[in-house]
Amino acid sequence: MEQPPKKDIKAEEILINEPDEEVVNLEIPINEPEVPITTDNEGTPKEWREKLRGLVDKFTSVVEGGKEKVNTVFEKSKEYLTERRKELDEKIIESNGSKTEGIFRFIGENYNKLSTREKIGVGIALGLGAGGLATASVPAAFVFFGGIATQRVFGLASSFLKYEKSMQDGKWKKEKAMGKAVVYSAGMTLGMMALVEGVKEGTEWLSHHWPSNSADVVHAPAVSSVAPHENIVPPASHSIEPPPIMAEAEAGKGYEFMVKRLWEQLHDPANHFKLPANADPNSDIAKLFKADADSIDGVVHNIARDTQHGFFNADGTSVQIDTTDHLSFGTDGQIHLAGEASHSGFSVHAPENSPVTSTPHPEAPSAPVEKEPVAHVEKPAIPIKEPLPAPLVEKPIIPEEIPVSLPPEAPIPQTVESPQPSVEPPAPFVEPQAPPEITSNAEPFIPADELPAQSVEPAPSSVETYDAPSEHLSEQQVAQEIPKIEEPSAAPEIITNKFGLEIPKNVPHIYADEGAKHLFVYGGSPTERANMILKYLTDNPDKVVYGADANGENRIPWHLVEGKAVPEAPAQTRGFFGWIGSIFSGNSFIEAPKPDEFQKLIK
Amino acid sequence: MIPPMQDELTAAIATDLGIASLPIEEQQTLIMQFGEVALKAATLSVVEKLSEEKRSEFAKLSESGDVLAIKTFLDREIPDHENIVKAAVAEEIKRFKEFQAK
Repeated sequence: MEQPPKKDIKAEEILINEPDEEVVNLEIPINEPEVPITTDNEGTPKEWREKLRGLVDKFTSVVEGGKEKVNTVFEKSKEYLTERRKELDEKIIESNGSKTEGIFRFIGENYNKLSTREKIGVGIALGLGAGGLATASVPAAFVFFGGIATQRVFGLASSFLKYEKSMQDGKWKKEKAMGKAVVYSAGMTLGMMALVEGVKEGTEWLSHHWPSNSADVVHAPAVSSVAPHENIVPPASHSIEPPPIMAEAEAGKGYEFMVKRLWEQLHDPANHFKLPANADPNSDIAKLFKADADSIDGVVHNIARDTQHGFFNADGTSVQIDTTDHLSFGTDGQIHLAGEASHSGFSVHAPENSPVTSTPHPEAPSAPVEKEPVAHVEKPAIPIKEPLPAPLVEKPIIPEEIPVSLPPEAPIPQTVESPQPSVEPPAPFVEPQAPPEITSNAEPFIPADELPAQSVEPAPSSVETYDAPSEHLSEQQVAQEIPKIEEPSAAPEIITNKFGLEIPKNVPHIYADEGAKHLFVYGGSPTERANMILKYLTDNPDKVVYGADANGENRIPWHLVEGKAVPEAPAQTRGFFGWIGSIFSGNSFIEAPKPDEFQKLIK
Repeated sequence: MIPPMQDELTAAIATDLGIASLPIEEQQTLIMQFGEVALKAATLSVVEKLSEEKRSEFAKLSESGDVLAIKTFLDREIPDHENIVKAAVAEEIKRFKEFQAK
């Protein structure tokens, strides 16, 4: 069959030619059409095109008119600002003459050399963009005119370098970094702060770099002035201006590699860095300053495994470092991880199968795990992988089925009774449902994990009692333990928390939270708590114990430094949400430990 | 593409100046111009508080570009210099907005 010849149909003809009657009868609301639209179908394609063109022209003229108006606003504003600048120049000359001519010549010449972003930064330094509430400062604006990398004012140098390196957007790299540095150093308001990235760092700078900005300063609360023990050191201010150095992440490299790069920079003679006089001797920066080529590996290793840095998680995973991340020092002298991925304060857990540094977990005892004698406890079927989570490598916990007894004639314990013929391996950090009883008047309860590891020998699982060799717990050790338990400060007032753990309010104890991520001291007087902390840290020097400050409001971390229990600055909320929460609560510090946090009695 | 943070900063300043409805490039142009005006006005307001002798000293410090020295000097000579600057900048914003309202 012969096909009809193809007709060359133009698009507009498809739309316009032979309009469907149903379509053209639709009522299209068009205001004051220049060309009346008829609903008949008598128009030719050419007529329809003209009608539509007329409508388009009208629309275009409206748009162009708006654009013209906008252009007028712009041009007029531009003109105004040019005139205003001239007025000011004249005023400067009139009122100040040659005395200050240099200042304004300096401003004029240098301002023109600034990039767009730096000029915007000048505006910010002058208080623009924050509703007039931010600090407005001529020196801050002048920062843009000088050699910024050499300027130390406002902590800008380190801030700038830190951000400059973390910016990946090329073109605006320098300016973006500068903008951030100025924003934070100028003390921006909440609304402005919420707009920008890097809230974590911003909060930090507001707290430490801008002490005169009282509105934004978070003052450290008072810590107990009671010094119950000569080895308990009162807190001191250790806020420092950190050196403007950083270590960038590299593919395939871990924290330890990065920390070592920091150490190298600190010791680079060209940098002329010195440890700030008020630096906390227990801070990372102090440790790195002190470390030499022989000791650095060990120091780096210890820093990397310190849970305070959050490099390792209690579940054994480590935090993933993005290639845009970097390490630098904070004003507390501690190493901080920051970067594009971690600006909001979120940490990314490494996937299960991703490689982790084979660093023993900081909570791990110094002795190898496999040497820890586990009394009549079968080896867990699941192999322990490194880094070991704290619960798996804590000192062995004698299960609740094994009450620990001391004979009436203390100090030497004789038996560890087990009512169960067979004891299953204990779950990590499973607290006994009820504390074991002290079986005689003079028999203090010694929690299982307080017993020296060697005091518990493997025992046949089929026997009910275990006779501990007398030499495994010395008289002195027991004598040290007895007084604190025999002489509570008052009749214990017991709180039963949500875990069912009974917590005496008047007797100090060390507790672990759920998952045993943190240790707390609770109960008793400040003096009793301090003594308890010292005693515990002496036995466990790598640990950190959190307690309450003198007012019982904020959380204070305690460390052992050279045999002394040393409190640090109150623990602060972390991350974006922590910071936001602190804004609304008016307090950036973490609350003092509360009984409901305790899942396990440690001491 | 303008980095988000800078975009937001620009937007915040543009809002202060009442030019947020303009295209971003034009906002930036005006902000840059305004920055110079504001800086000169702010500096002038500070300088006017100084004696002639101190003005010379301030001039030398400014030309040296030593920001820390400038800050130390102003903190000592005009403890309230930040509020003075703030007022000067606020006055320039007000003038600019009044002009736009005409």
